[in-house]
Amino acid sequence: MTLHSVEAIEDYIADYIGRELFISPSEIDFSEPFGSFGMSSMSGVKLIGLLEDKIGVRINPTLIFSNPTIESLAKKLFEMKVSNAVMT
Amino acid sequence: MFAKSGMTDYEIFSAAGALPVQDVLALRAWLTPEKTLFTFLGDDGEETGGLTYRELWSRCEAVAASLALSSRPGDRIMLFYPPGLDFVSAFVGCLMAGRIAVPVNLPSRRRAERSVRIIQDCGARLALGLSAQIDEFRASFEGSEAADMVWIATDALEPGAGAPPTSRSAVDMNAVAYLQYTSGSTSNPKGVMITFGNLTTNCRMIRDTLRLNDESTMVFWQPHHHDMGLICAILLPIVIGNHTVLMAPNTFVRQPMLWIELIAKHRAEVAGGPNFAFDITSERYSAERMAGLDLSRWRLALNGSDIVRPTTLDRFSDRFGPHGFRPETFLVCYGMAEAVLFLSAGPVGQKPRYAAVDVDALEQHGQARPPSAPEKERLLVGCGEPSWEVEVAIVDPETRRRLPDGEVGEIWINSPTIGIGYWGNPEESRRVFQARIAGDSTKIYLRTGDLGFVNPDDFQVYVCGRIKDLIISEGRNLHPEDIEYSVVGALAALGESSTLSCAAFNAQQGDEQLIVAVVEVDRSLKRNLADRRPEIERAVRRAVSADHGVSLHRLLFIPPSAMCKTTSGKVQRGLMRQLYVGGAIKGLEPAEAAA
Repeated sequence: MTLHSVEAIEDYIADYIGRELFISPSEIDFSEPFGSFGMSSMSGVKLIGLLEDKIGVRINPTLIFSNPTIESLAKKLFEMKVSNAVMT
Repeated sequence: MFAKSGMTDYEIFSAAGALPVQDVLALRAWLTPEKTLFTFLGDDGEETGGLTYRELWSRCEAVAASLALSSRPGDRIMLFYPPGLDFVSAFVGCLMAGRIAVPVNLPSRRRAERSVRIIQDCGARLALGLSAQIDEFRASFEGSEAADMVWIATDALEPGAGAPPTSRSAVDMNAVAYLQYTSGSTSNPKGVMITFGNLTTNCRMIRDTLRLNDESTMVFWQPHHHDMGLICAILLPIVIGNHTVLMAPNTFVRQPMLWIELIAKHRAEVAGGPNFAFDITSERYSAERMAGLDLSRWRLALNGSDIVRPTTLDRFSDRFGPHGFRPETFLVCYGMAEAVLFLSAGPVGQKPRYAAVDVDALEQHGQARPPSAPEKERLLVGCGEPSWEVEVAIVDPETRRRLPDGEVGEIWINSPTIGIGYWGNPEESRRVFQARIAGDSTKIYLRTGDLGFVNPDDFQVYVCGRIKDLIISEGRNLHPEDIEYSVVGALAALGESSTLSCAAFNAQQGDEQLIVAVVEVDRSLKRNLADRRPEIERAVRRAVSADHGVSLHRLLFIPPSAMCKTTSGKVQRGLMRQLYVGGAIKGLEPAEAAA
């Protein structure tokens, strides 16, 4: 499975956070900072690795600090995916 | 000692199992100076550092020389290092100088308190670190009792130029080599005192049980401030004289397949981790990345420091079996920092043993009985046979009487690797490290706090739980009172009472070990939950993850006076846990809170 749109990336991240925290993805606000969900540091690192595989780009962990919400990170990752595809 | 032209293989083997670790390093720096001891890998598996035996010895010598000028023998030295090889030279440098090394996790702004408490507990005044990070640490200790710490940047030291010594060091094997602060809560840290003798003996026990030699390449990613990372990944390699490949914990968690690729690429014999490591690696299995990789040289997949699950082992074998992984490669181990690291494992080369027990008898009565019905079966995985140097006794924790084979009781250990106690805590040290079995005063035992039994048919130690209310998460031990403190603190920050009762504990759901917190509401919290429950829950979860780096999986609010307490008002965590597991705790529903 690959993630082909900003929405698909957003849903993937929300699903992941929901699974890790045993909460319904519908309770997750895409514009809230990641820090507010109470996810473990290990879960955060795992998510980065999963996104790298699903999107096919290398993600510098500091990207989360400059794009601290699901909304902004998904947008940024999609841009990276597109520019990656154009280059190759 | 090495004032001779060479040594036979027997001599080297005996020397490595008898000398203090720093002397084994000197011996190997003399025997195989150019052999690569450690390779360290960066985020993408690229090589970012390496040390030969001779290079490590020179760096340790520089650290020891610097410590000789700035401290006195027996002083405690804090080690604040990110994952990497600088930690290794700092640690062994302390051993060489006869200073007591204190490896700890890095302080963050939120988590500086734990480091400060440890510094206060052991009375350290000197810390070692990297030049790029020391200012940051100074800033996080500002205004605390650790503010006037003296720092040495060991990466700026010039490596020693001399040749390794040819005579053995004058170290007393009964002296304390390092303090391991993995026990104890934040407010009450406990540093296990491990002697040079304990350390040498445990490395030898691991070497002998696992049949390791200088060709046993290993790949590890465990944090160096934990016993598994410190012993298996850093000190054991020096003792056996092999090549070991290291990476940061985050590198592994982010790309678990990288670990598998490295095991194949380096034809590693040994690699492992807590149970979750095998789970996340199975989850991330990629046939594409496995193409052309062969795992048939992987002889020992260590699995320890957390509950081992049969389903984890099966899934991993299914995934990686086609690539040469054999189920008998799994080596389930048992041990703890109070005994350096290792107590039991194996036998090597045989599949892990299972015991099927009745889940109700175990959860409610602490007894290992055959399952009363198929759906009541729980499979426990045997944690290996104790080393020949270790004696395991199963003891009734109340009466201190030895229990017959097969009965569940507290696991007590007699072993030459048991530390001499907790630093500066003689009372607790006597209780934990010098326990005596009723009617037998000949030996002293370590009380592990673990519940388990030894199966007389297969000699395996089966661990079924904890006496103490310790929470185990991803191989780490957490203290419930620390989690409860964060939960209540987060609620207080929202304007709730700071005296709410909270019970935090582990509960098993399917194959997952969940962290659960139960909070007893008062009138104000009940009212506020009705209005803004999601916000309150988020604040609590956020506090737990920020303070401890773990996720709180379940947060339940229960009605006033629903919390079980002792007559003196202490929350009965064990009882709350039992009720929760039995489905007898009902949290307030959102609608109910509104009523």
